[in-house]
Amino acid sequence: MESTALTLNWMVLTDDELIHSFVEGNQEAFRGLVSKYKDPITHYIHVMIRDYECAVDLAQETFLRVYKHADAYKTTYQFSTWIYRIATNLAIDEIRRRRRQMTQPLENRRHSSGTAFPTESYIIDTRGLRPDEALIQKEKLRYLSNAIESLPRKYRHVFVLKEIQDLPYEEIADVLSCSSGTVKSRLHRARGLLRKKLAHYLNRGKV
Amino acid sequence: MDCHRFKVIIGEYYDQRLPEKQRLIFESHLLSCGECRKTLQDWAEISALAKSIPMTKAPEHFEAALQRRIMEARRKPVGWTALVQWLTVPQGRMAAWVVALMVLIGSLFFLQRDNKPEPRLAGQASHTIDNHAPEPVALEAPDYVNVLLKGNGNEQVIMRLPSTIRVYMPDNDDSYYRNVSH
Repeated sequence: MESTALTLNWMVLTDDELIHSFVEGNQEAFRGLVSKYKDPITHYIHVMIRDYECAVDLAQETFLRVYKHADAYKTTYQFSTWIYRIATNLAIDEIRRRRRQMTQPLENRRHSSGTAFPTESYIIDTRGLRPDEALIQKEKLRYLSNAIESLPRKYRHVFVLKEIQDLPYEEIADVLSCSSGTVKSRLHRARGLLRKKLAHYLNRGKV
Repeated sequence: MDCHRFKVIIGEYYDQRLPEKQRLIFESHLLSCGECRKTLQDWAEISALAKSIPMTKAPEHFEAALQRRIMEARRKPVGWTALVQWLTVPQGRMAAWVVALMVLIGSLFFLQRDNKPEPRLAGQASHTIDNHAPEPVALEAPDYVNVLLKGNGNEQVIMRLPSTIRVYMPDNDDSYYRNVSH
């Protein structure tokens, strides 16, 4: 009962209140932040690198860094900006590592969980769909995921943060340490590139 | 109507960030521009598709695994303790020896360079100073040169001076010291 009461209590506190409470030594506040952000951060990294095991690992690393450096958090940014920035940097490092690995001989590449060659598609809830509808939905997402993955990194981050994580321009600018104008132009470019890549499938019921 | 002009603001219109006045102008443009309407339609479709990507959930063991990592990180030594522990492993000891050897070689190299004598002209003065020049006022180097006095076709060693001297040279309006060496 007490645990439920505490959980409810964390849900009404703001991120700032939680992080400050944690900095003052309240471990429960950190758990509150984890339960609030674990899904969005895992999802964000998963969309960026398309490898679930690795996304979970990096999401945990993100929270570990929050834990270690909570006292360095500045209230000039929102907490969500800070945690997305950490997650973005980790995802960028992982993408770079994989790119380096792609240039190595085949036998040196890693194939276990955290594979360098993500082939996994999203686990789609197909309940309520006919088998053919479920198949079409899977295909749609596969095309889109491939198209997003093929975007240059700077466009991919902006697109995912805006269209999937639904962050406002200003927060995206803070996460990526650039101006709102840059976010606007990169988003425009990302949409244009995706439109070109998916041109054959748009408005035809295929995608 | 010039469609290219609107390409700059179509994104802001799509994200509903356009001021009212510009929005109305753009919407009137949309009535006559199939290309811009198609762009917006495609973007909307891409956006809807992106939002339909199922939310990845963290696994059930997420928090327990995170807790373990936090405990491990807490146990990991930092600062001097980490350095001392690192030195107890063979790789750490080897690296420490290599660093110490490099520091030793570097120190010897610099010491040797500092003790090397400055090149000089053996037994000859490189500068002949005028009879009326004032006396040197400061000494800065240990090596010596002969100072010759020239006159009437003769030359005579009048003194031996350090190779680097500071000489008072009142040849300008302002007095200053000038270094004279080989």
